[in-house]
Amino acid sequence: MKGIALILVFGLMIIIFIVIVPLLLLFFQTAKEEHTLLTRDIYFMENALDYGSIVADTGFSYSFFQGCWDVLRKGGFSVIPGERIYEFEGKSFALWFDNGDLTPSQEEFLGELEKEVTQNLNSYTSLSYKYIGEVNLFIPQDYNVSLEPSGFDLKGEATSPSFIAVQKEDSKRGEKIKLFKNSALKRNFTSSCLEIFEEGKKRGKEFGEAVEQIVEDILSEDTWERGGQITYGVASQQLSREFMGNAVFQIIHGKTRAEAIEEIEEAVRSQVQAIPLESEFSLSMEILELEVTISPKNCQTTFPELDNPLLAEISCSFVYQALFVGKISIEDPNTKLPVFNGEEVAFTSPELVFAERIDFLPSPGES
Amino acid sequence: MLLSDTAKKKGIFDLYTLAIIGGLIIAVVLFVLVFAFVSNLISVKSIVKLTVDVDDKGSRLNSFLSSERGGVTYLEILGNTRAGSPPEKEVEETLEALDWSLIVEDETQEPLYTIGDVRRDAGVFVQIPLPGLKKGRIGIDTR
Repeated sequence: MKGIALILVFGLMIIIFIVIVPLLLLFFQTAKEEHTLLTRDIYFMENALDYGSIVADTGFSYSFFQGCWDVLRKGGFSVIPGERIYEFEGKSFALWFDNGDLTPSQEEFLGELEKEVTQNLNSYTSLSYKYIGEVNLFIPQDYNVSLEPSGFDLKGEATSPSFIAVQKEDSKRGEKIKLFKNSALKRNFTSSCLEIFEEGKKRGKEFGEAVEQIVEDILSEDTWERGGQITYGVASQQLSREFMGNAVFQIIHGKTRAEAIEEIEEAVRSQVQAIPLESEFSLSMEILELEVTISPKNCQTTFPELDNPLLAEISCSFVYQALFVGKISIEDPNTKLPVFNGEEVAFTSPELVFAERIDFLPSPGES
Repeated sequence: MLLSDTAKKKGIFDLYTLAIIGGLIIAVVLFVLVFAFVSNLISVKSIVKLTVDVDDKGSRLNSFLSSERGGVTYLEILGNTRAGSPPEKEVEETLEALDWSLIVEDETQEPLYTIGDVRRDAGVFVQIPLPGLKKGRIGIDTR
């Protein structure tokens, strides 16, 4: 009996060792493998998620640079408002002075810059990014950028109701992992973007007012008579207004209207170009348009000697008009931003560009 | 019941034989178990190695690209090669110290900057933003 019992015990042990233990081992091994693979995927995706943040952050930086460059080139606007557009040779400029100061405020400028940077950032994030050839990163495409000035620096924040996400599916293992991360971005931008704008604000107003004063001074009543009367020997009573105007003007000023226009234009040009444009930035001015007109008005002929129809008295008034449009550029040559500058992607200095228009019209009393 | 000496001896012999056979079986089973256990360990180890390897590449890549020089991340510095600016010397020195190969490609996959030789089959590639609203790629080979 003892021997049989012993045999049974041995047999049982053998069954346990041969069947149950390997099964248990197999179970634990599979579980370990699953756990390891899952852990690996989670680690991998966590890295992908972190990389998503790095991509979004870099995109934010590039978006700001591009936004700063574009907005400054458009005179502080994301899209130049229709009433401010001045077109010249196929290019559009924002008017900062149009017979009066139109300089945008800092709030307006920052609002436009925020709009532009937001658009750029969402363009960057709308591109799909692959991480190590395996995982697609989902970066929000509904960012909203805000910029807060701190001195001339700008504290930038990009927020979105969506998350940065990564997703991986393994149909073989029936595994689906999706990880999320807060998408908020913060950056401190130390470029001269705001400083250039503030410089433009100061210089633009000064310049516009200076040009206005120059034109007014040059076309003052003391220098250029608003009208006159001459006695003129005429061969016929049929005199055109143009003829009469020229005759009166020439006798009053000792020069033709064309000569006077040339003289006025030259005076305006030389005095405008002499306006001091001192700045820590590189400041330049280009005259886009300068047009002076002198138009005779209300010309009348009278004959003081009734018996002498060849001697006439001609009187005319003159309307002086001067249109001046200048382009102001303020560039920071010490800063170079990596941007698409309209021709190529290159490090380019930010440059604020705007136009100023002075359209001198005589007051009603003078016409 | 009394057994003869021969029968007794035979019974004892059978018992011993069974014990030896049982012992042998247990030894074989234990060997198989130890073998299975060790191979299991090796298998897990290889998976762990793979995990560490993949995870390590990602971590190292992230650490490298988010490193900063003068407040600018290496990713941004490398992306700036699209605008024609070669990376600062320190970035190159870091790559050389790590003995890494690196390639930056533009939006048309044209190389913008290379250091060493990134093996297409062994390198790790990630897509990156580039200046001017463009997208490129960086590949690193950590050897």
